[in-house]
Amino acid sequence: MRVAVQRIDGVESADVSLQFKTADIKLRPGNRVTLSRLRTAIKDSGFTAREATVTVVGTIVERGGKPALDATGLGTVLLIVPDPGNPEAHKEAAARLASKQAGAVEIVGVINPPASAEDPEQIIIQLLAPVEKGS
Amino acid sequence: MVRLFRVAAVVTLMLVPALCAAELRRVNLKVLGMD
Repeated sequence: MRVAVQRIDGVESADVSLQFKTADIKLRPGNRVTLSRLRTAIKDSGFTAREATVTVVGTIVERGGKPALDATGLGTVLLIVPDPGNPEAHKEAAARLASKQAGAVEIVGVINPPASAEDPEQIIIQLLAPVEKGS
Repeated sequence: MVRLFRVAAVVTLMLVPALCAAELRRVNLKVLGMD
């Protein structure tokens, strides 16, 4: 599985933990890797990828009056939903949307496998930070 | 024509960083079937 993931263009490193049953994947700046691509590589290796904790960069846009993350490089828009244990990051995303603050943000959150292809992908937001130019 | 080309070049230069900035940086996946 580690080799299959590392073969993907844009993957910097992949570490597999048998103890925690996780795959920790770091990606190079400017990559075009999608979560779906990583899930497929793991599936093709005979395993099943479940929930993903991701660090993703994009811009906050509006979808149905709610904040969403436009990750143009991924070809998708992720609906931003609050983490019940930490709603502050979601409030910050909503505030950025309300005040029309432009600029890229880095979000850490959890993405569960979509129940069906029609369901919009969601990210349960845990952290939000503006991206400084040049980072 | 030259002016149009210049405008297109400026728009492209403005869009490229925005597109490049949207990306996955790190993914930690829970994996089933590792028993």
